[in-house]
Amino acid sequence: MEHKENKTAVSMTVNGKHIQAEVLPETRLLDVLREELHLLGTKEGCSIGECGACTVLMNGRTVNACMVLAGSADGAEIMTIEGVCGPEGELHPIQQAFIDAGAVHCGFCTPGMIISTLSLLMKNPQPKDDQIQEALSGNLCRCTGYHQIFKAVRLASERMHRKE
Amino acid sequence: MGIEKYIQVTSISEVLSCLGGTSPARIICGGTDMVISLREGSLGEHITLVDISRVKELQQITQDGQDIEIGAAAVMADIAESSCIAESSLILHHAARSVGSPQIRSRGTIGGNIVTSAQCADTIPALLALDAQITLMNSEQSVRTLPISQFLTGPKQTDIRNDELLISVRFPSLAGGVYRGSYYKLIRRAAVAKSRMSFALISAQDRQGIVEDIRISIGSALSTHGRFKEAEKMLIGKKASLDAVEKTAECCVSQVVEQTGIRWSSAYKLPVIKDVLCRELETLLEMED
Ligand code: FES
Ligand code: FES
Repeated sequence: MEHKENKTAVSMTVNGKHIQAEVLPETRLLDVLREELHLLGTKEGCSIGECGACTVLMNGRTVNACMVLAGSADGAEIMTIEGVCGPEGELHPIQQAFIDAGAVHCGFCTPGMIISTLSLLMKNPQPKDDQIQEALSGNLCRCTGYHQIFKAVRLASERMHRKE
Repeated sequence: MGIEKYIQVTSISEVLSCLGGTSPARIICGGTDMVISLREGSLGEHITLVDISRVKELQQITQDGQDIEIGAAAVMADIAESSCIAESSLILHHAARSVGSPQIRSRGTIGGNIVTSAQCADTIPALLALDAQITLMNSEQSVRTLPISQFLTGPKQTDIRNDELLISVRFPSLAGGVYRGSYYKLIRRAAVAKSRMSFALISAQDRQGIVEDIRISIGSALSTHGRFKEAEKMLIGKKASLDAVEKTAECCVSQVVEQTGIRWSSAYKLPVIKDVLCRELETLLEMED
C-alpha cells in the first residue's frame, strides 16, 4: 500500500483478542477483519449496506462492517462469526439450529444471519415471528426463501431457553 | 481516494477547530451515507475527514424544561428505544424505528438524516410536525438556531455553512395527554428499501372535539420538505368531520401538484396521498358522528 504517511494506527478487541493495525482513512472495518486479520467468515456482498453479509457486533450492536471506517472502530469491541463458537470450537446453539433446520444453503448469508440472530436472542430470548422478521430485515438470503432461517431462529430460541 | 487527512475527535471544540481551515473538511459520523460517497470518490479531492462518531456530547438525549434536545450524533437505535422520545414526540421513535435495518439504525444518526436532507429521510417529516429547531455552531463557536423548516432549503440542500457543525435538534415536548400523533410509512419492501412516502401527523382537540392544532407533513411528496399549512388551516378551529378531513386531504394533494407538477408517478401518488391522509386523520381525530 502506498502513501504510508496517511496511515493511522487503530486498536480494537476482536473476538476477545486485542489487535492493532495501521490503516488508510478509507479502510473499512470489513477490510481489517478480512485482509489484516484473515477472519474470512464475515462476507462482502453488496458493499453498500443493503445485504447484511458483513454483519458483525460492534459494542454489542449489529453493524454492517462495510459501512464502518476502521478509524471509527478504534477502541471498539467487535465480535465476528469466528467468535460465536465455544472455547473448544464447539458450535453455538444458534449455529447448530441453522444446520438442523436446513437454513444453510450456499452459506453466504449465514454468518451475518447468525450474528443478527445472536443480537436478537441476547435482547429477546423468546421472540415472536414478527420480531424475528424485523431483526433479520437487514440480512438478505438469495437461496432459502427465509422459511428455514426463521425456523432455525425459533429452534435456537427453544433450545437455549430449555438449557437455562 | 482524495482523503488527505483523517481526524478522530472527541469533543465539539475539537470538531469546530477543524472546520475553520482552508482545506475542505467533511464530517463523518455513522458513515451509512458517507462511506459509500467516499468509495465512489464523489467527495472531491484533498478532503480532511473529521470523524465525530465518538463525540459523547453530541450523542445525548436530554430534557431541558419543556424542550427535548437530541444531539446530532444520537443514533437511530437510541432514538427508537428512548421512552423519553416516545412520550414527548409521539411519533419520532416510530420514524427512527422505520429507518433502514437494525444494522443501519446502530450507526445512522439523526444529524446525518437532517444534513443529507434526502427526500426519503425518515425522521424529517416527524421533526417538521414537531416544530423542531436546529442548533448550529461555527468555527468561532457562535451559535445559530433556526426552525428545521427554514434549514431545509431544497432537495438534498440545507442552509448549513462550510464552517458550521450541526449540534442538536430540539422540539417542545408534547407529553401530557392533549396531543396525539401518528406516523405511517408506505413502502414497497419493508426495511432497507428507501422510504416511499411517510405521513407524520400531530393533533390536539378540545373537549368538544374542536381541532385546536393539526400538523401535517409528508415525506417524499414535495420537492422541498415542508408542512401543509394551507390544509392545516382548513381544520383548525373546526369540529372534525369526514367531510372536513376529505377537504383537507384534497388541499394537500393540490399543494403537491402545485409544487411538483404532474409527473409520471402522479397517477399513483396523488390518490394514495389522499386515501392515506383521510384514513390517518380519521383515526387520529375524534370525529363528530
Ligand atoms: S456487504 Fe455490507 S451490507 Fe452488503
Ligand atoms: S443460503 Fe445462500 S444466500 Fe442465504
